[in-house]
Amino acid sequence: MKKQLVIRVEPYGKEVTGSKEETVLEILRKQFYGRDGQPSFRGCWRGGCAFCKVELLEGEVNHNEIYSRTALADEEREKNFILTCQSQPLSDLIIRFLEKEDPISRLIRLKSETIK
Amino acid sequence: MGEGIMRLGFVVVQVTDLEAARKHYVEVMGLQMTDRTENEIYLKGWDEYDHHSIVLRQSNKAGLEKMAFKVHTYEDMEQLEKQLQRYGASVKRVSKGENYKVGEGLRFRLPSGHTMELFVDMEYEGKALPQVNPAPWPEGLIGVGAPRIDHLLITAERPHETVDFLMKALNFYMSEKVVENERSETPIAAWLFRSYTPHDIAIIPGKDERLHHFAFWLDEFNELRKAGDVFSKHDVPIDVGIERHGITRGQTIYYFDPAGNRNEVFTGGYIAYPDMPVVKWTVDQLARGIFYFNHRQEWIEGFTGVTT
Repeated sequence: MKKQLVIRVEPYGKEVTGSKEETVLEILRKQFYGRDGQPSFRGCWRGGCAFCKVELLEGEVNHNEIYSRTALADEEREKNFILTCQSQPLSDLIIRFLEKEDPISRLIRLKSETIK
Repeated sequence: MGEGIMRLGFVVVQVTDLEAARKHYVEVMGLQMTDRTENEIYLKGWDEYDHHSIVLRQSNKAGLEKMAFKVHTYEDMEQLEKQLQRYGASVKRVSKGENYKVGEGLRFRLPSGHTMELFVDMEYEGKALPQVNPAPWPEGLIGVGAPRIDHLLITAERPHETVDFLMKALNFYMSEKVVENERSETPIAAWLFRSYTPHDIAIIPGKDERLHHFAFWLDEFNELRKAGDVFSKHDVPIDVGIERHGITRGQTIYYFDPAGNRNEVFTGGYIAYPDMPVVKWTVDQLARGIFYFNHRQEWIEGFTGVTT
């Protein structure tokens, strides 16, 4: 049996498990996205769009080198931000999701709140 | 002024793995590779005459390098140059051949920071069909078999400035816009055209210089089903679809290329004439404007917030 690694997802405190053979995103898609009130995953899976960018608080990953530097700048990579679609876990991890800023959905949300 | 801008001519798209991109655009999308260099691949759809409508360029970034619109005549382009200068744009002349197989042109930036060019001539390649007694479609199409490029959607921090620029300096017409409420006029987002489709370019709020997607035309709704089959067979990540847009009334599938650039296959929508009154979408109905069937908050967030 493959060794199971534990990934803690902050700020939700949720723990998921997976192996070194999977990307962090693949693990999250099986056990995190679309569950417990989390939206389904909506990014490109290809290292282009930064939807899956997280901060790596603890642990080591094997990060693929082919990805868009617009999605993850070299300075961000040095500060331990990763694209989960391009990372395989090498140890237990703690990752933190980032706040997403999208003007259109903010507008729609504001509007539906005023109507309610 | 003559007839001005005719249509979207070509886009230059940055890809992080040129060979993976070639495989996708040629073997999945079914585009014809008309040329390649070490760092670039030139592509056209089977129903396009010009040498290329897509240039893929190897880069360490995804996203749009530039877009180029085709203008009817050099006289029209001179007139547009004057209009651009009057508007305050800094316009550079592009010499013949600076863009491979493309004649003289103009280069400038939109208020959103995107690079746009105008050109008149591109080397003729011809359709995959004869000009005399052509069959309706060519034999041997691969995968989706997209006939042509259709439009692109970009994001801007202040969309109304870019919309104003495109309409005043380049004579784009507006088909639809998103506004705060029925009485407001300032566009939060807008769909603009020069051809007879409801949009050749659209602008939504988001980061400057970003590409939301560029789209391929498909001839009918059933072609979307086939495209979906092809995408799933080749593990192409599908973003949304099959869906219907309230805005433009088109039908669609969104998906990602191997560099993470969003693409669309699009069909339907109405014929747009320059005299059409602008259709408005109020913010409270915008979700339906974007996805008429599944107008869910969750879908919209992943959709409008993800760009390259």
